[in-house]
Amino acid sequence: MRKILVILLTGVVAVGLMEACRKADESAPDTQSLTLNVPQGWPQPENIFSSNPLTQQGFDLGKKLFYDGRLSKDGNFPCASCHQQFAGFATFDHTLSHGFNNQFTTRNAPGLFNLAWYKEFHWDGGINHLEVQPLAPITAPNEMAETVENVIAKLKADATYPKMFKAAFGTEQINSQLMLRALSQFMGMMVSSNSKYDKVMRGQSSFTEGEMRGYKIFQANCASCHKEPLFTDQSYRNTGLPMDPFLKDAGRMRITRLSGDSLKFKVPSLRNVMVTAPYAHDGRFFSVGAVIDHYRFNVVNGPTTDPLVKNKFNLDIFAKNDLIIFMRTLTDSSFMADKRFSQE
Amino acid sequence: MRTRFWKLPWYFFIVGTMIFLSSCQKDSSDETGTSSLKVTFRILNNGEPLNTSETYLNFSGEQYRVDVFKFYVSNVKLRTSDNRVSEEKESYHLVDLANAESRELTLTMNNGSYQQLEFTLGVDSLRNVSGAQTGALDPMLGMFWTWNSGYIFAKLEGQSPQSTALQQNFTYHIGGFRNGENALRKILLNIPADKPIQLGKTDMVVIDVDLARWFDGAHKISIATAPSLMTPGGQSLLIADNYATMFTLANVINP
Repeated sequence: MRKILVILLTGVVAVGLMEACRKADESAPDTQSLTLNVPQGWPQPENIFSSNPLTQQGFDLGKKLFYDGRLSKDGNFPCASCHQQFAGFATFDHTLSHGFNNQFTTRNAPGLFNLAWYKEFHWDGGINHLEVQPLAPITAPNEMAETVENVIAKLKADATYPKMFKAAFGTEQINSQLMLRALSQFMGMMVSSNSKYDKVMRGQSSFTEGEMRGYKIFQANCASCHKEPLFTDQSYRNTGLPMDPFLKDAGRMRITRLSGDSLKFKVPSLRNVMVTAPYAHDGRFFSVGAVIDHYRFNVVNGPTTDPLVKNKFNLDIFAKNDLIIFMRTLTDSSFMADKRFSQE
Repeated sequence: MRTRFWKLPWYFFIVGTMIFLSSCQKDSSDETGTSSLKVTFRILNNGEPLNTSETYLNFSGEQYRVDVFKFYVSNVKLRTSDNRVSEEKESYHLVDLANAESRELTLTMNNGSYQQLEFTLGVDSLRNVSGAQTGALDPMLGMFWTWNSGYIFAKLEGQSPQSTALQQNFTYHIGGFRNGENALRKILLNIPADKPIQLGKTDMVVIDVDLARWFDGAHKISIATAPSLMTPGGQSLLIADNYATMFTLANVINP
């Protein structure tokens, strides 16, 4: 009896001591963890949060940074200046967005949602991790035109940021890594999966006759590149758009330097397509109808034009209209109105 | 029946004390312990200390002056004559001509006597694809391509009257980790048998870096024909072959 008691006591003391030491080592801040929910039927997201655990405090910090003009040189260009929530975080009604000193960007700003599922970012796929994406617009002279060094100095000089970094990461030592991780938490949590299409897929709603006809046309003509459920297969393709003589944008070739990648751009998601006009990498199409007409009549065949579009789409005007009606079901208005992602 | 603590058997206290000591002890897997080792890089041009106000000539008689020269030294290893290896943890260092402190590394390695020093010029592919890094890999240091994710392994900028680029500048930002554009180069420096690196005893290891090899190493690089190389792949790989030949062991200073 006594021996059992001794062994038990020894065990309790040992466990207690180990716990005490572990706590002292970690000094984890008192954070509230968040979970990235994987919508039903979706693939697993990329493994981007294993070294950057999602917390409410990290998300809140990321949101403040996303809406803060001080990330830009003159204070006028927060991330949100080109990524507007009501436009699915694309730029509303702008072929190209505006940056520092009355300059234009060189590509159409994409909508921001479901980023945790993306392997690469930008129209040319030059960015290989969500965390390092913000470095591109922050430092581009025609976008936010700032240096990372200056941004960090501004954040350090602020009254609120050191506290928020402390709350999120347990340290007031602001550095670029923690800033980028906070932004990654905010952007990575933006999930858009509640459109009518999603409700139909979940059995909570049903397509009208026109929407159903459009869905079938979509599946037959569009779905191999605009693959469900993300509505992109994340590949790079030349869709037969002639090169703009002013922008001279060779797309993916800029990254790979392979002539076979000339004029290829990332397949954009069609989710929220109705609110993210204009379309294509340089915003040359002002309506979804104009994009469909491109595939019906205007595909230019060159050495890298995708085989799936080079014969043009044989769609009559009724099919085109049904397709548009279907694409309206991809608008997730609850995402556009989600206060979690709105400026406070 | 109550058990008073002074009646507990003696082994309770011994076991308890052992657990107390072990629970808070740092993990030390090596029994030999570690020591710090100073490694100094001397930046030279054809054997003479590199001077930013001096004009140099390359193999083809092109004149050049250097403004910026920095490179990553990573994954430093020491190897004994019987092939046992000590690796520095989190081994990333940015050596910068403009910063004397950056040219003196203090490494923490396992104790032992070593006959070879190895490091990589550049940043391994894993760190190029793993998101935001910090310390020597902070993108704030200007060694990260923001539009084409990846580290610049080595940077050389300056002027040459033979340069055909704007304001007679030459700009070399060399990096690339993908297949076909891998600019990582492993540098192996053998240590003379009579002067091994002895951790805990050796005062300093001095490594010479001869910048002249940048233009005139395994390949001949002409400033007039290639004044700007700022993307992975292509001719950047020729410079990578060249910078792999810049390093020589100058001295192991033992007491």
